[in-house]
Amino acid sequence: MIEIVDTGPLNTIQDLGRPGYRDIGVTVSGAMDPLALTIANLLVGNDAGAAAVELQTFPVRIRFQQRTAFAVTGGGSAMLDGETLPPWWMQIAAAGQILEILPSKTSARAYVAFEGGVDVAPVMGSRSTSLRGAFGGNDGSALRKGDVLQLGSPASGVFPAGGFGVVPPLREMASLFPKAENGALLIRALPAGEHDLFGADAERFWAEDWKISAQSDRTGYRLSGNPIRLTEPVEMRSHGIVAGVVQVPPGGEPIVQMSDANTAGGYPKIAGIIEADLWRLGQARIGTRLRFVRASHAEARMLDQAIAAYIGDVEITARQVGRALKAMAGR
Amino acid sequence: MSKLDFTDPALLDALAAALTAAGVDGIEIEQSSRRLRLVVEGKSTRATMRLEAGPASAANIITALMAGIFDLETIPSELPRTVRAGDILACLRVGPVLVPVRASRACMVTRCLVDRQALVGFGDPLFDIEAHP
Repeated sequence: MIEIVDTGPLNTIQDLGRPGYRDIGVTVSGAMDPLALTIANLLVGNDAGAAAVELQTFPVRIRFQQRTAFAVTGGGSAMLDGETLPPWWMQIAAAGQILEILPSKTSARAYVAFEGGVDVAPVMGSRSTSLRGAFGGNDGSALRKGDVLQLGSPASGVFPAGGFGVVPPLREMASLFPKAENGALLIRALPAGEHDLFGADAERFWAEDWKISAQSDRTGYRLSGNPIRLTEPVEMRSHGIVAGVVQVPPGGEPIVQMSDANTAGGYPKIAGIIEADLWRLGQARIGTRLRFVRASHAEARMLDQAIAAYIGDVEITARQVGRALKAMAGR
Repeated sequence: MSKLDFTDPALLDALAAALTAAGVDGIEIEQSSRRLRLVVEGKSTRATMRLEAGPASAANIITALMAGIFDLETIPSELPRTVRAGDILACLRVGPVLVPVRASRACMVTRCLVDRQALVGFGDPLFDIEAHP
């Protein structure tokens, strides 16, 4: 078990979400940065989609009630009883130790996975919290001070006593995630259904920087910048939408659907962010400037494959290194 | 099984050729009294060999607990530096995995003995240390 000693608002239990129910109006939910969640789980021997804690407001303090392997990935600066842990790191906590997580300067969300996963009742196949629907996770609520969370039965993982970590994906795959000269976050996307209805304004969508406004949350990011508008008004029926879809409401400032995306909407779609870049947007803080870069399906597939290879490499190598360290410790 | 003689040049040539054919950069073989580290250099089958008389004295150095790429990016720090027992001084990188190099006792870390991103082997000296003042 773990106890939430202290937490900010809107921190929740998340896994990889509950796809398959959008047709009845149930949003997918799930981690805003599924890559960080996956790696955190792999570091503690869990399945990639085990439930973990997503933190977006800080500081957070968690007390371990028994010896527990845990991992912290994504953003956040973690300390175990005052000892600073490197980023993207797993460690074993003793009973009574306190994990403190403070915000990082560069990333918005931290993920803490625990050996065995957070054991809350699955709803529609997922332990993710849907705050808008008030179900899933911690009885549909954000984490609160004093909450005690049960952990599942641990897999037979081999954890080195001194802990270990992984090279963060943006460092390991730096060449695949180029940076803009002006520091703007480059987010690759494909033109979507109504792209061409924006005429010349569609080109400005790609060419100009946008800023993530304060009206942004797990449901969507509202961007601020020079408005773009349709060349002429169109009547549209509502259509199904998914995370990553970029819509443009009449005001002209785009909205990016995120993990708690609406299941349907009627605003015209100008672009769809490729999945390989969506996790980076999930880590972008309010106020971040970003620029959309037109991608191809082939590029999106190549990036998906590179990320899958990184995950596979982490899974295999972490297991091998764990076994090697255990063997050496026993000599 | 007969014991291999790792001082035999023919055996070393055969090992180097096998490593090159397999696309492997090096291998470490530890016996009870000595350790062999064979590193293939470039595209040729030339190899260097180092025989050591067992683990080096741990009195004034911190050594590598396994083979890996020496990584100072994860824990950047200036030397000399005073550390507590258990503090992480650097990491050894194995693929995407980072294994910490920790101080075995409270001490002053005075000098780093290997280059950044160098391939190090088990037991290689990494840091000079002095007893905590």
